[in-house]
Amino acid sequence: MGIAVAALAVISVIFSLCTGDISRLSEGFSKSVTDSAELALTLACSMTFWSGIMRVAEKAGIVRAVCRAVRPVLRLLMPDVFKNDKAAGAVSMNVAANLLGMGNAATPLGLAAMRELEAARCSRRSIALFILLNTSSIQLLPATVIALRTQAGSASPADCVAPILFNSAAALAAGLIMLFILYAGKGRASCSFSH
Amino acid sequence: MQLFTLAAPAAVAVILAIAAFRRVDIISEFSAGAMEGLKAFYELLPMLLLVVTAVSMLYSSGALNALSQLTEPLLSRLGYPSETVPLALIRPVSGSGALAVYENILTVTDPDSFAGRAATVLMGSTETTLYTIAVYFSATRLKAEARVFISSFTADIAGFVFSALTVRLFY
Repeated sequence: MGIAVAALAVISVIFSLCTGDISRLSEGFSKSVTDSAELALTLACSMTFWSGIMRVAEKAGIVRAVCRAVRPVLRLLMPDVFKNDKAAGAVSMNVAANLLGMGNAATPLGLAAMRELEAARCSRRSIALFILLNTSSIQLLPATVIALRTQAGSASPADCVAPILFNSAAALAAGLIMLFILYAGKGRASCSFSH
Repeated sequence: MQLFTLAAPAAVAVILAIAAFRRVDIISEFSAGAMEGLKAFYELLPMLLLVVTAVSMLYSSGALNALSQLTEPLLSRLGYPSETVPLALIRPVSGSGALAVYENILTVTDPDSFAGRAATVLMGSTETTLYTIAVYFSATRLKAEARVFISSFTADIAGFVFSALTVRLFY
């Protein structure tokens, strides 16, 4: 990542020297300070606020309710995981946290779930599926995106909720189809891993 | 569709109401959770500053525009806004980078324009895939096999391709 940032900076300077329009770059550079101040303030408040609300939701038992709601679906998708209570619990908690947009909580829960999946010797297919569920970002309320749209002066910042949900579901469906094709036959049953 | 505009305030109201009903100490739990969020923001901030600066340099040098223009002929034929290409490229790799590019797209185009909406849908429906796979597998002794990457990237590419169609469908 460090190298990527350095490359971006060098490319920018070389590119603006090549085009001869040097003043735009220096203007843009000074403006980036005020830009990032605005972005930082929006993000800070949005992250702080939703993190607080989600802690309240957790204490009110809402995360557990969502967890119960997703279990039957997950049981259908990865039957071998649900032979093991600990693995099933960890996977469901992670999916529930992701659905509620609890980014801070989802990652440690996800790491715990990965360790349980490994310990329970769950199938490669189930592990790939668990990763897919995490990388396809199904989220009931995309709070950060709404906050950034508000800051950018959108007339209706929250009208993106339904399209985002629809698009995530469509993308996840495509990923699932690919996964089912790739893991057809092999790797479906519980098997041990070669490290 | 109007109903979804209420999604955020309604979620807050429902959560707080259930919490009050179940006698949760709302003030102290909210504060404790909010502090965690603030801490996470603190950890994000240095990287964000660096990336935002690099991205805005890239944008104001005209290099980002040149990239968009390079892909424009092909993408516009497919009915796709070329402004979102940089976002699609950085999204799987870096969360803070994607935030910086997304914010840039919103300020350059209008958030309620076709390109702004396509970027929004793309930003909201995809994840930092490569980073997630790396971190999740690092917690185990397992190796991420090719099939893991292929299925996750299929979802990412589908998310990119579908995003323009989704925007057309909904607005």
